[in-house]
Amino acid sequence: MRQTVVPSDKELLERYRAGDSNAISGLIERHRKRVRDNVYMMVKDSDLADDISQETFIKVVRVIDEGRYTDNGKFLSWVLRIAHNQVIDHFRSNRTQQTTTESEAGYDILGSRSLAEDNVEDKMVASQIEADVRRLVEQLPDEQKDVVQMRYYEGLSFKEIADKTDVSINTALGRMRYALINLRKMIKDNQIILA
Amino acid sequence: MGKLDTIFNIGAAHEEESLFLECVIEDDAELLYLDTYLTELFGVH
Repeated sequence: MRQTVVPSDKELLERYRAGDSNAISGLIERHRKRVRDNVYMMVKDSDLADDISQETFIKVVRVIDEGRYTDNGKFLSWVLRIAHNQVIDHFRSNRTQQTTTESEAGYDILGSRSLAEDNVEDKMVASQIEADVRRLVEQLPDEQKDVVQMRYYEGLSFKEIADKTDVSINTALGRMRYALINLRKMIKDNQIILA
Repeated sequence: MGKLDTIFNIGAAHEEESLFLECVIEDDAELLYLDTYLTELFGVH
């Protein structure tokens, strides 16, 4: 089996800035489906999800080209935040015309709050929710907790997780799936509302 | 699904992302949202 070195988001960004236009294409393609699926969950309209996702990546590339993006290992988080803001802008600009609220449109998965301005209270609630979720992660079975921590805390690929834990990629993926399923159940059982 | 034989190019990460969505998320919107939430919460990808 050929070994592979998967370029990180940071490496792809550096390649793009050095003149490799394929790097930005690869970076976008890497995250395209995730961004599009997340937008679709919020707007529940396939064509609209495609449009907003495209607008998101146009904005992403523009910000990078203008030198206004500083990579801190959170590229996907940044892109998802832009996508969420694009959805918010869409709802606001269409507020007088829309016939459904954000909640009716489906943006209430796992009891998540509707789109709204952040205020001090929201920030305090978000901080508490974060602490609660971290506590739930600690309650996962060790094998699942390890995968979650390596995936989210350390940003490892599933190939790297599999190598590190001496299991197959299949097993690593399976543990990740069970971890998410268990976290979902614990979140609901504890009546935590993700903000 | 057996061992993966990945390719040394940009497509390798895209392949893993597709695998993640196919094998972990399995079109479950709630799991996708939860994964996104955790990604933003812990902020590393």
